[in-house]
Amino acid sequence: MATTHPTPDPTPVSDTRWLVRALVARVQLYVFLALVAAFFALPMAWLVLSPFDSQPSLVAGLSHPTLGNFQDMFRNPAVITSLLNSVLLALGTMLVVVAAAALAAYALSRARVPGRNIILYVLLLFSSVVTGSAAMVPIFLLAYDLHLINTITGVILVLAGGLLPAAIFILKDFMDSTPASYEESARVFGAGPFQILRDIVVPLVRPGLAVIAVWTIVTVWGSFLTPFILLRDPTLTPASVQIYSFYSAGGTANLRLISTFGLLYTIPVVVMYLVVQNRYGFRFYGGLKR
Amino acid sequence: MPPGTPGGTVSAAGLSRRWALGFLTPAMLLIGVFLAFPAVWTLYLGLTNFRLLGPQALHTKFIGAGNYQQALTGGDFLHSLYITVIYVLLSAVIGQCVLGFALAWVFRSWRGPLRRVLESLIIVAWIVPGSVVAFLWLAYLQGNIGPLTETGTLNTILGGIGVNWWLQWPMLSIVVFNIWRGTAFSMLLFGAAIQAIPPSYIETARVAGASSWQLLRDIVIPRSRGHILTNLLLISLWTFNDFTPYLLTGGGPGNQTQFLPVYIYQQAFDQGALGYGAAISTLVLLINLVIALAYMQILKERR
Amino acid sequence: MASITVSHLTKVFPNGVRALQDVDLEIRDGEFFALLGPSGCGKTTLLRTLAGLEVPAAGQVRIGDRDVTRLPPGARRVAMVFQDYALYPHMDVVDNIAYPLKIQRVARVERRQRAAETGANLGLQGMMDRRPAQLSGGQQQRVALARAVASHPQVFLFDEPLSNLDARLRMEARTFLKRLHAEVRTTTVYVTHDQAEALALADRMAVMEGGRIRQVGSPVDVFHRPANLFVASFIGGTPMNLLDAVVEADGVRVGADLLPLPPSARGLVAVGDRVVLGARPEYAELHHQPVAGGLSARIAIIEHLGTAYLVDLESPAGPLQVVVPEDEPPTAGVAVWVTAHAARSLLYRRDTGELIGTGAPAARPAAAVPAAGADGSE
Repeated sequence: MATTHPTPDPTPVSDTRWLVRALVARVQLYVFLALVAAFFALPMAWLVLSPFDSQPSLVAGLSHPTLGNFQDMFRNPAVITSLLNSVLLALGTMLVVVAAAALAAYALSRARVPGRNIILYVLLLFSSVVTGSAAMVPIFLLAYDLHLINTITGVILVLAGGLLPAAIFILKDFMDSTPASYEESARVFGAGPFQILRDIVVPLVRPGLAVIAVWTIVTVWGSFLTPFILLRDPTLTPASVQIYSFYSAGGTANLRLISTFGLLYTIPVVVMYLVVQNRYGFRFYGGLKR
Repeated sequence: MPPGTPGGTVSAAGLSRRWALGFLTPAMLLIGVFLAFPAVWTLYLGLTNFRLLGPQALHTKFIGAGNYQQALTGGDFLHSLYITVIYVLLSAVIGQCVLGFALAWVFRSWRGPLRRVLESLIIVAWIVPGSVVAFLWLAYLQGNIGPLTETGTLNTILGGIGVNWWLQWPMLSIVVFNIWRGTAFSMLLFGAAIQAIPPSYIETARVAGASSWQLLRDIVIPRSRGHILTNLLLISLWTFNDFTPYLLTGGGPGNQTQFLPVYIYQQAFDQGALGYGAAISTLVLLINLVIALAYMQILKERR
Repeated sequence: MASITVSHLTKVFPNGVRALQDVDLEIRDGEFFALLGPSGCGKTTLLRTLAGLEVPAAGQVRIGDRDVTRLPPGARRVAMVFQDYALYPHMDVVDNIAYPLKIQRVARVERRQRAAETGANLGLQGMMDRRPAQLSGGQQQRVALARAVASHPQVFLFDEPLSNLDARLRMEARTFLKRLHAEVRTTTVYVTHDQAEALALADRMAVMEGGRIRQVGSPVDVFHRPANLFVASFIGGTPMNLLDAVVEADGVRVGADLLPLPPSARGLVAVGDRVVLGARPEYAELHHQPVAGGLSARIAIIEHLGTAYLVDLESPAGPLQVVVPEDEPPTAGVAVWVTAHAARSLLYRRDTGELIGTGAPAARPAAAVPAAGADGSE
């Protein structure tokens, strides 16, 4: 082996240079973070401040603090109706998706269905390629022919169809990592597949079901295009479309209404995020959120 | 195998093929009817001159490649395609990806409350419903050209600059908007990818004197290639098909921000030309498919 | 000069754990220094603080004559080898070894050549083009070593580098490391939880527990004169026998028996002092007849060690062990008497756990009994 001699010590000057470099890097970092914080926070400032301002302008600020806007908002029938519609859509779709996805994921996870992996990946590819915009024409026509235009049911079914592939994919993952021994012992006791699913599997994959449920609700809550296309009746429109009509109609926009309605409409989703964040930590395992 | 089980092969958990197919039915039915069928139907519709109202509704003619011809030679479609690609490249491929990665890198070993607050800000920008966000940005970038238009927050902060961003710089505005909107996803995905790198890899390099740039170039990015590509694929497709620009600019001014989703909507529903709209939709579907396959190919090669 | 000086080093983790508590240490230039202790004792934290991967809450680290406490890792000119080697799977062997040189902006051709040379010196010739995944565990370890050597550091830092190897390979790698150090003579700090490894490799070592250093010394010092009960029980292939005892006028009483006072404690204890007598199983003898100064016991279990027997005994003073040469096979259940080689026995204070005396016989007063010969001349 050849001997190796460490190169001679650097002079003390370069040590200070290291410290200076570290300091400069720190400062750069803080500047960057400050800019990022401002970039992300500023546009939302309006939403947080204007609902509490009796004379809001387009600029975010609190010129005349008040809580009266909320009262006025609730006097607007369209607001309540549309929010209820949003709830209806979200919960309805959630139920359909969770039920159908649980069944399908269980089947794909436990049974030797031929070509199941291919089915899954094709479906997944499909659902990201065939997103609302590209299929809006035939969906419209399909709903028209099935007499589902202008019905909440129609919207629920269409949305569910779009969300199912991803939901099945995620749930199947959960189920794969749950050992089959519980189910096997139940089988030996004579339980049928439905019983096993209901009494054993579902309780075990509850976290996965919760994830799917939350994700579906949040996605449907904010979904715009499908209800926009499929619903003509103003008493059926959900909040996402309603608020758009408030600010896209001609004339001066009612900023008090828009800001208050917008805030109220936004809060459930943000609350859900915070709850999920605290209980599960919002980390990724496969990464599908729209 | 337990006796008396009809339906053939039974898997370990006792789910016979019959039961399995039965369980699959509801989901497959929904997907088939509301996802697969429309995609296929688009193909057929694109070959007709179908309209919802008027003579064509009653006597739909099969015009073969007529719609496609119109699309590819007319100029509108190609313009829309062109600006959509630019939009995706600038806001997603460059914007969201780079910013998301930068943030994931900066946050990687940070635990404190400050990080959680910042992270939450970024994620909230992503989950606030689209129609609300659209208005927020309309208000934010509002300028005061002329005596009647109000000024938005940004211009006020910048000290009374009277630029009406949406009118004068629509493409820039919408690109910045989309970066703001979607960075959270990239940040979270890359965060997971960076966490997956064993700490000793990075620490060995740091002890050898590597700067952050060298770390990124030599270790982090090569190890994250798969994640980067997956991320790019997803955000490209999402941005490509995003309908929010309709809420922001309606395609305007003129057709400066008339991205493909907006174009399809306007052709099919405002103009009523459903057949033509279907043809464009098919083209968009095909382009999506090409993008997805291209990414997968690159992914396979890089392995 | 690449000595290392650590003064008053304290490290507290965000969850409140005090990983290092006011640690002082001197490591000499060119020394192979081991940090030994059970998991959680702070040895890895100390190593990482030397590397700059942890920032101390208080205290100072000097390498050579530079205060490096606030310097980032890259500025300290140290090289670290991790337990999992951290070989980059997307680079081949020569690029892995050359990586530190790449950081130092050495030109490509030159650094690959130097890497190839270093690799060849460590027996890696012919594997330069391979990926780490294609190498055996022992080869991977040598690549990690080569990478550390190639960077010409002032100090090598090793974090349990042999733990991932199986037993046979570990012995070979151990000898390899010792030879490498003899050649290269770079100051090395080596963390391990395996005391046999530390004793075999180190010039000097520190035994740590609970964030503190419990003893610093050469392997011989630590083995023969553990400074406290913790070190005494930690060091040694077979644990040292530690028996409660009370000092009496002419010896120490262990249980019902009177044993001779170890010469190293002479003059340093008073009658009635509560102590602990320490004697290694290897330095004890079994007698089948009663013996003066012996401890009565009964053989419980016999373990065959190959060239000897490890005998577990029950006595009124507690359980103890004796190693017996193979030509005297013991029988279970038999009553015996155990004597410990007095000169190699040690006495500890029961309350503090500290060693009484230096472990060597006190500086001889003029008329002292001549030392049994073995102490101090190992």
